[in-house]
Amino acid sequence: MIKLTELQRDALAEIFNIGVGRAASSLSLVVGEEVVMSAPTITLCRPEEAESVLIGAEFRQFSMVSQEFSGSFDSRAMPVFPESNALEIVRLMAGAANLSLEELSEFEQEAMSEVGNIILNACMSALADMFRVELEGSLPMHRFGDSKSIIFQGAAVDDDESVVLLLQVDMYISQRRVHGHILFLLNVRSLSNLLGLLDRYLKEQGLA
Amino acid sequence: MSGAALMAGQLAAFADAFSLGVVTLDADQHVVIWNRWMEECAGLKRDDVLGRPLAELFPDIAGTRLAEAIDFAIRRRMPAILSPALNRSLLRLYKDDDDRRHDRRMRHLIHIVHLRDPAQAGACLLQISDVTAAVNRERLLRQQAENLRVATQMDALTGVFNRRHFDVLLGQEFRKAQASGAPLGVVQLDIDEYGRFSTFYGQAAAERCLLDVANALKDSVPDGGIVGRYGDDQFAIVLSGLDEDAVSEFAENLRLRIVAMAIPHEGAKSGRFLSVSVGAAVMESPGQEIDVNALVSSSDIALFQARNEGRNAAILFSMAEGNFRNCA
Repeated sequence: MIKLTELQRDALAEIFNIGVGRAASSLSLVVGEEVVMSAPTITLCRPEEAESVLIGAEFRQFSMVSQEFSGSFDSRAMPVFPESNALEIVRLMAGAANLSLEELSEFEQEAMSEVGNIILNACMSALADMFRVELEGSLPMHRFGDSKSIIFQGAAVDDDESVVLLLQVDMYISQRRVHGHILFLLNVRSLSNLLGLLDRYLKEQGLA
Repeated sequence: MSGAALMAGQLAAFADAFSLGVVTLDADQHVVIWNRWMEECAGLKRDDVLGRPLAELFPDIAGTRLAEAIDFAIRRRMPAILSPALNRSLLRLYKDDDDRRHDRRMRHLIHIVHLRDPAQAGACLLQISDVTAAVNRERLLRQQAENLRVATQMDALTGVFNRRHFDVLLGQEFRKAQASGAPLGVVQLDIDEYGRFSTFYGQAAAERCLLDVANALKDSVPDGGIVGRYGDDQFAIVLSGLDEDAVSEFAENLRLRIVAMAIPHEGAKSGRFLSVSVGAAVMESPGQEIDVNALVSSSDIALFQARNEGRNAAILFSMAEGNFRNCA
């Protein structure tokens, strides 16, 4: 399995940090108050490892948004929030009452899609800017899940062929901290394209 | 007619068939396609809008997430969804003239996607769905659910919890106390000679008096305290985290507060003003082998004792020592 060098990891973290920074300012525009997002930590792992991270203690049920991106590399991108955190986002951002996941109406689900969409567009456009490439995205889909199968549902996942770039990030809204993950599912070819772009970027910066 | 113009004409005719708003913009955000739905809901004819910048048609969108999302779709090929829950109605779209006169804007859901063929169709497509009815229905359902919740949990006259819900909350507090080891107290009170009060002053005054007492109780309980109507003129209170001394002080202050309200009670034998009898009990160390019924019965016994001692009294039954004491 391909491993990230420390330099690659730092550079990706920096680029995604620009992305989540942009996402935070767009989210602030939506809610009319300051939204802050922490610098993400990045791990490269196999899909089953990503699943076990998500299905750890805090993730009984989760809310996830997925968008497909294509271009210089292809990826399915998915912000995933545990049930309680997703409800917290809806409560804080859409002003919804205390609800359970089952009670969320389509409007709150659309609101979750929009939040995920904002985060992903910002991250992917930061990558596209830094690498000077074009990426095209699909419309976001939102769904809830309580089992492993749902995370990569509908995606061609081959454990020998697929990797997950796993970002952990904290969002602060109205002084509340909401923890979430962003998954980028890539096949080996797309990963090597991504790393190729990353190495080119590092060279241009005189860092490698 | 050129092939491209023919294609654009077909696309426009196709867009007219949709019962949602279809708008496409070129790379400079000038309108390329504006379907019939948009003509009707925006009140702007196609011939008047084609080739004009969207921001000129809807000045309200400047600096908003919608403007940002359109720019992103065109320049960055990133699609966007603008949900009604997170975005107010930015576009001046109205279902009919009456709504337009009263500026009752349609609630909308907007999907924005990049288009690959700017020459013919434009650089980005906006699909605008009218979700006003669904948003209103959702609001109504939520309100009805809330009304039902209130109706099944609250006492209609006094606004405190009804007995059924009070018992549920008491059970929850009892389990929390057992888990945390914090003390839990129950205080019961009834209005002295309420029957005489009702006979003397009439039903309306009696109900007014129940409401005044309930309000005084709500006002007296510390944060986290729970007040319920337990019977006709009987109320109960759950107090978490207070020991026997603190509950005893609370019970006595409550009695004094009701007397201090100076509600005339001319028919009473116990005094000129309305008074209450109060009984209290505290589960001090929740580890002990008692259940919630034992706690409630103990406060019940204390209330009985308070009535026996001539009313207008507050008595605590100590569960640990098995004896009564006057609250102070």
